[in-house]
Amino acid sequence: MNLTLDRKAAVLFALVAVLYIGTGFVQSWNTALSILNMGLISAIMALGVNIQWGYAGLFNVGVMGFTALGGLAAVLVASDPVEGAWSATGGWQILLALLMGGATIAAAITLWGKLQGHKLRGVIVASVLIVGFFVFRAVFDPAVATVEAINPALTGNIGGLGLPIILAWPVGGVLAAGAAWIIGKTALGLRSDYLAIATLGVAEIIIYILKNEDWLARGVKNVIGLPRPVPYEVDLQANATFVDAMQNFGADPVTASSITVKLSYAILFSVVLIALIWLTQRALNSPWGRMIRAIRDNETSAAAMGKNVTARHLQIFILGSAVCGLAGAMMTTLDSQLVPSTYQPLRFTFLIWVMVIVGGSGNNLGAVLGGFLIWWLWIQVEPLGLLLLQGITAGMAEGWLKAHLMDAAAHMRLLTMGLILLLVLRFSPRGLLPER
Amino acid sequence: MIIVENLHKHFGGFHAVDGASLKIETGSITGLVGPNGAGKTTLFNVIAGVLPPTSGRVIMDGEDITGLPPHELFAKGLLRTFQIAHEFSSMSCRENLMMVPSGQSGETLWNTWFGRKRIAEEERALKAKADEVLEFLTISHLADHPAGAISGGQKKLLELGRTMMVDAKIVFLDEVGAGVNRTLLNTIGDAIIRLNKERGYTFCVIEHDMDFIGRLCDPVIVMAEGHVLAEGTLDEIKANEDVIEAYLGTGLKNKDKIGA
Repeated sequence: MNLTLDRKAAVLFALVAVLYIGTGFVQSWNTALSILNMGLISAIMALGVNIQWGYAGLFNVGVMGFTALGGLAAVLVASDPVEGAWSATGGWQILLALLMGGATIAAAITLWGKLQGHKLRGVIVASVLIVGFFVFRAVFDPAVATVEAINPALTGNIGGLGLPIILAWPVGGVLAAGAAWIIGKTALGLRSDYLAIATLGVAEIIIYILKNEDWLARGVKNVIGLPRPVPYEVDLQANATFVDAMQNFGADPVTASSITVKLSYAILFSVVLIALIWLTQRALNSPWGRMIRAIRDNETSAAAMGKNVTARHLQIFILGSAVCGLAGAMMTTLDSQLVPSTYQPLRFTFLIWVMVIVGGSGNNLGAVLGGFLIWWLWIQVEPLGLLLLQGITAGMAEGWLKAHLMDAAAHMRLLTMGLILLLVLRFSPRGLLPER
Repeated sequence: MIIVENLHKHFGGFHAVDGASLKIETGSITGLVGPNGAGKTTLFNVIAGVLPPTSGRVIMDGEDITGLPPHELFAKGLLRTFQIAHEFSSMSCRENLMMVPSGQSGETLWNTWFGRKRIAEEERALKAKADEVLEFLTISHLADHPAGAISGGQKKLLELGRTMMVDAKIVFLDEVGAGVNRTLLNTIGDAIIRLNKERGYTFCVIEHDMDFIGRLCDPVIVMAEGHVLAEGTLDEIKANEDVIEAYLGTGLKNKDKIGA
């Protein structure tokens, strides 16, 4: 049985490889590699969701938020420091205000516990929160104004550390893990619906913070021109050795430079993906994985057999979210920019879920396969759909029907995703590569 | 020894457990009987930490264990089985047993990546132990079957088997014989007696089959309407008028009481 599943996996991965290589021949290698790079990132996100949903049945509908936190990490770690932003009345004061805000919440939580049974518990805790809020704003607002006044056309934010952007990848994971810890501490252990609601809400909150808190990552003014971990095309084209080598090879140096850059990204991303597959596979095929499957099969029984279900759920939720955060930082690295308004639940939550369900939840390789396949379709269905409808309408007279059909081409992408999801759920309900 | 002191569990206005007090002596096989709805399973669930009590205390060997979560009770040696079998259905019977012991080094993620050698050794020992338990329960041939696919009675055996993977002090069996045929029930009974004699397990058994209770249990505790009605040997219980009333309903002689 395992053999046939292995064979099925090999065949399906070969088919997806044909799609990507075919793109290279039919369109261009540049296009194929761009799709591949985002495919690699998508596969990593799908792995993250698979850890949560496939291993443990945790319903995370806030993938977008964790991805965006990864993006924020890229800005905070790698963008250039802003001169004067970390003055005593600027950045440091913002940090102080945030710490005070955190302390207020911590104090309220502690008091709530300490004053159990006290008549005025609600009043006391509420007044702590209200006073704390106003103190927080009194410290926070002027500091934000100071930071945002620094050269607002170019910066107006606290800037980054100017470190290599690869360092932002683990930092993105840690940021997402921190957010997951807060959500998990609150919502795990309750009925599972609450986790879904909490993740959905927090993801939106994260995007709103990114859009509105200009001092952090410039809000909707976006951060562009983040440094790369790989060479720039222009530098390659100016490099005599590179140009000579490519010309000897018979390639156009301009095209070759762009392919080299994309290939370097692909190698970096592949290293991360392969490492993650190794880690997740080892974890799953171990007593740890057995414990997790037992918890998923029957929580009550696993608890009665001595397993700390809530702690394991928290662990898995944090790990899966960290993987999504890592992928988010990688994506912002690939884009070299953070554009908060591009974070849409449809693209960053729904699509990742389609990848996991189509690929086969519970199976790491299935999720990876789904990531590559669905991403390729997501990109290619738009031109293919247009071609298809142009073909259908080619012989038609101008008129309302032709106009209507051509308008519909723009929606082919969502239609196809829905169709694929339906077909897979009908004919292979456990995904293309089921758990076992 | 487990002492339950004046335990209450209310669901809104419904008092499922209503002032139950009882004692389970170490080394005994104590039966817990009573009509349906007497609060036996709710009592189990409160003792086992699945439900928080409304009031009252549970004391195990002198230590207050009221409201501790199930995994901490497990660590103290208090185990339970379920009225409706709670097997891990996608896992094999052997895996169902192997997952039980706590503190396996392979349950730590770091070790799953970089401590494979130690895990492999532990797994060998665990597998041997699981196979021993399967042998003891006469279901060796099911070792590699998915637990979700075996019969209801065999699932009950498997649940009993899970308690044998560790050194339990006290095991609560919730209708371990329900839906089990006579032959298999005898096997389960044999296993319980052997575990009690050879490994010193204390048992508390909820059961409706009086032959089974009679064979295994001394003493027997009768519950009705959320509290303990009587306690004694099975014969004493059978002769007790309150018990007969609880099982068969209030007779004519109490007609005036109902009216009042």
